[in-house]
Amino acid sequence: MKDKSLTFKLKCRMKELDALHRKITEFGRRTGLPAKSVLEINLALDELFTNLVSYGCAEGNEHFVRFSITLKADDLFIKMEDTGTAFNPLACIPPDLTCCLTERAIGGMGIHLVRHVMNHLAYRRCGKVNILEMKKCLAGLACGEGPKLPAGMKKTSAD
Amino acid sequence: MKLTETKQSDIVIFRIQGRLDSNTSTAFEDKIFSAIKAGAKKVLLDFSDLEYISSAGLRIILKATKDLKRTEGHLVLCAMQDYVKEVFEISGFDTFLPIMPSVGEGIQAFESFIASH
Repeated sequence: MKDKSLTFKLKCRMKELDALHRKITEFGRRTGLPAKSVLEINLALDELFTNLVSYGCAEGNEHFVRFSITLKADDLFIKMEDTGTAFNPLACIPPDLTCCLTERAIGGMGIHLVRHVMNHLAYRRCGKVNILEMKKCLAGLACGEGPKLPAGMKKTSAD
Repeated sequence: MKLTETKQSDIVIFRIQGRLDSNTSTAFEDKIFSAIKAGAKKVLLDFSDLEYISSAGLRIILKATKDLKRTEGHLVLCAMQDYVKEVFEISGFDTFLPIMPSVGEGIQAFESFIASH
């Protein structure tokens, strides 16, 4: 795969979710990413964007988010920068996936999905900007396959 | 997202096509909870044309399952595409939700719920 990159900026409004989906799908098509990887990247960025719009944007202020996606050989690097409220997704308590239906809560599920589909996550706050860097390994993937690394292999760091 | 609601005997069937995300989940939420409020106790979700689901969709399914359990009702999910099924597996929802390979087997599943009571 050749090196390819894409940078785009969105307003922090839920209706922009469709634009996010379109841009990632088009990038995946252009760079020949496996369909399953495109769906997983869509899922991770959807969850992070939805979180930001739902909880990270104070009313009255216009917030923006910028996504920078770079494909280098078989690794995909994604950087998400937003001007929302300081939020470190890596500090979220993972949901209890073993409890019964009645005790089951949906909180934290979005970040759990992000952690699962990405191989590396690192967060830092720079001034008034949240910066989340992600890496997804595509090596050895055929169409319709995805990485299955145990959770312990996901290196994370935060300020 | 396109949502179709039909009824087969006392089973309410929702066929969901396209994407179930934060933008589209409200329409789905309104329809499924209207059916439950109207007394539906057997709800089947036909996912054969569902291409994508995020935690926004999972949230509604969890809430609907809990609401139906309170009235001794049941929710059955059918005909998931591989990627959608993977999201249910990652979230652990496959451990407490009946997921059937086809709509026909989903309809039959309600019979086994009745037999087990």
